[in-house]
Amino acid sequence: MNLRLGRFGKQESACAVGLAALVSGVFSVNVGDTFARGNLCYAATAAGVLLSLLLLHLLDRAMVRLGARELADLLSGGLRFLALPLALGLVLSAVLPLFRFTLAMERYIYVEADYVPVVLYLLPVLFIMVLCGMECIARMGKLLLIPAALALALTLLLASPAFAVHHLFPLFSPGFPAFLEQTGSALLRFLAPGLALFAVGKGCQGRKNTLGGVDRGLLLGGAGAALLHLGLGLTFFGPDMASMTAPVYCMTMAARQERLGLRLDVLVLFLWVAAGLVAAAFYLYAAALLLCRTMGVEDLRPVGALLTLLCMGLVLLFNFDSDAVLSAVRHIYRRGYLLLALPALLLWGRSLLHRRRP
Amino acid sequence: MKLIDTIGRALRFDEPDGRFELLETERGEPSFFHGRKRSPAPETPDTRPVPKSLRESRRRLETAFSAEVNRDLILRDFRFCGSVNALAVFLNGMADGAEISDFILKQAMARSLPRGGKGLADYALREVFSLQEAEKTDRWAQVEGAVLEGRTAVLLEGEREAILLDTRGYACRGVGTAQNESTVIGPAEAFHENLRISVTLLRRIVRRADFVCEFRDVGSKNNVKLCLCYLDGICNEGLLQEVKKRLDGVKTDLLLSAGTLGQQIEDRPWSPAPQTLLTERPDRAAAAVMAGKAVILVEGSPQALILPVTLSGLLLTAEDGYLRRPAGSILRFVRLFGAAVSVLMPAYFLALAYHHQGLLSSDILSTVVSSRKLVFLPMGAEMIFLLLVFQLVREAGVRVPGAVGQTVGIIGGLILGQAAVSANFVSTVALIIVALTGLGNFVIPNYDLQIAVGCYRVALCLLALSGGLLGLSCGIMAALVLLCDQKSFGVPFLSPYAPKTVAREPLFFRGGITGQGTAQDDVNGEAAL
Repeated sequence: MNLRLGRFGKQESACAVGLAALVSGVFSVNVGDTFARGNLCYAATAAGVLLSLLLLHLLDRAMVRLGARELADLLSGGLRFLALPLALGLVLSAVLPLFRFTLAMERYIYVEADYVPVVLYLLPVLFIMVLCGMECIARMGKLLLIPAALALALTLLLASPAFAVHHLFPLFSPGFPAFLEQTGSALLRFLAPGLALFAVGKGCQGRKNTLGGVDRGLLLGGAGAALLHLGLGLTFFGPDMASMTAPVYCMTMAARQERLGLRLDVLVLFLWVAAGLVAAAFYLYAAALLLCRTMGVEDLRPVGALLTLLCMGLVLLFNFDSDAVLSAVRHIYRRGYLLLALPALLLWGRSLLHRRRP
Repeated sequence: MKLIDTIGRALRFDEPDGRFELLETERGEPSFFHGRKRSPAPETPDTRPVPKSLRESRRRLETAFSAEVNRDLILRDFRFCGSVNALAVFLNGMADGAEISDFILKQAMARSLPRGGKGLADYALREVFSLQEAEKTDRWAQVEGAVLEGRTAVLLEGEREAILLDTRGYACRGVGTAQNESTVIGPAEAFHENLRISVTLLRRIVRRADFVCEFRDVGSKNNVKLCLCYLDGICNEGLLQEVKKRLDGVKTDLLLSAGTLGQQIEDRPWSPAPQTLLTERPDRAAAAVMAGKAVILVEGSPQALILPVTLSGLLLTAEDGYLRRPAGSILRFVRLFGAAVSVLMPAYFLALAYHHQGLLSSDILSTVVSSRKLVFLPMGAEMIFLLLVFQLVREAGVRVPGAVGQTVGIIGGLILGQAAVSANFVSTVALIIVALTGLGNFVIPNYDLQIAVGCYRVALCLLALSGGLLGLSCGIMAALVLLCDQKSFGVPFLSPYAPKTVAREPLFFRGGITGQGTAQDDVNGEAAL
């Protein structure tokens, strides 16, 4: 047995979830579609967090009903196949922010570099983190919470001279259907961290701690993401953002100025990248553990390594300039949440058919 | 004729030419990658009892100690209480001759044997030998071990038990002052090579009945004495069992210091970061004992090994506790800042100068460019070269004794640096950065950690050189991941921060002194906070 789960406490689990929620909430947004008709993302993000929390609490009820200690325990009795969409959803949740970071670095920082070398720098770190296991990832989450909070604060601070309330108007211009659609797609961003923690629940020293970690992490990370989206809304008009590769980076450049003799925008981006790597490792480890548990594999390393390679392969693939890839990416952004939400609902529904365990 | 002989001998394969050659023994063949494959000789413990016959005892001793050539071994025959043949065995120089004369030989020869004459060993122990530490044994291995330690073994004709008397009295220096962990405030004395003195220094501070000093032998044949010190009932039982298990697993013959022992029992030999803390200060070791940690003292080593250890523990000094809280906190913050500068500054500068010039303000950039106007080395090579020179100066300063060492440091630092800048070998900016890095490095209180930081610094420089801030961030992340994954005797290396534990000593600020002595949470002591 070499699953490298380890044990981690309330703070570490909340930090891992919070970091993942913050990174996904900010960087897993399909910029082109979301902002084309105006900006409702800050509201949709908040709604997405609440909806995700509701779904995760339902899943927790299901776990109580069936006496399950982690997500894999729920996947029994003919529902094991659900591990595949769940794992795929988690892998995609890891891919999306990494894809955005890589694009941002290639377009704004390493202007003369190719896309592939940038990806190759991220790969070994991701490998090490996934193979070191969840205990290590949770501790990294705890360590990087302050840098991530600093990145959030600096991003808002650097952009604050460019804030203007009129950028938010006309309020609710995309309309209610767009709001619902964006809330749905926000589910992929905020369900994934919670489900990932449920997947590694046995290391979290009890179901209560797991749920506490999910609640605190999602609320903190979701609030941070919503705040940043509000900051984006105050900085740019929605349609202006639709053509940007990384609006958050552009936001720090909006009121470009030197602080302490240094430009801080690039430093802030690298703080985000560090947080993104931890979030991606968290998702990948959770996906690998879910697959290992359901398939009865006792060594996580091969599965973890394969998923890491798959993740980085997808990050490379997403950059291909072909219609098929672009269309697939757009579908993932729009409907990817179904990979996580439907199995979660199905598992909850199945649990209703069972009697509560004494 | 001689020439023909030489040529003839060179052409023949069967005859040696008479020169000395150290031939391989048949202990095994070298493997392809991992050195010699050894087939270890099976070690059979010596379970022989003490023989009744004095002649047999003498024969065994003479064989074991090669008495014919080994003149250190003294075998002194005498008649115990005037009627029983006896043999006193000790090593000349290791045992105190005056003690042997006054309290063993004189006492034994002056008396007469009481009636009955049975249980001679008991009688000798109770009524004849007036040394404070004495015991009897029926195991031959213990007799040999005791003689090697400097004790005197007395063997009596017809007795199945030998008497071991503590007559250790070899020459050693007095208690000195701490050289490498000097402080402005607080005690100055340091541990000693003599294990007894070191234990006493520790006992003088920890005056508790539950303070246990467990003496053990480690090593396969050399049997080095060490002392495992802990607070019984405070130190975690699991930790103690693990430490004892690892000590039992030490099989090396050459165990010269606590540092060597630390390497034998740590979790990850290839990690640059230390996993045990070596200290020469008894007050620091005593604080660790009171905090629920275990301390190992090794005979012949003037340092104590504290375990488990965390990164925050490695960044503490004894002085932190002696200063008032604000001053202690400021010092600690300065130390952390220095450590961060030491690890990151050269790599960060290289990343900015090579890949992200746009991040520097025009003023800073123009300063860097003007300082490098005539320098012919590329910036990366210049930085690596300067870091290497810094290590050279430092190593030379450490190895050269006393005041000369300081002079080497001054010459290296001032004259060499100035000359290198004048010769357009290096730029002033790079020199300033390396000097700041060096200062930051010296602020780190632990020597092992200073070296480890040097390893990380060079690795980060290379990554920054190749990938700029991306390479640097990935390097920092990889280093942090490995540190997060590292444990020292089951305690996470980055606790109390990651994982979070209830800590008396927070990372950035010094904690209050009330409640000190209670075991820390991260070592899971029995009386944890």
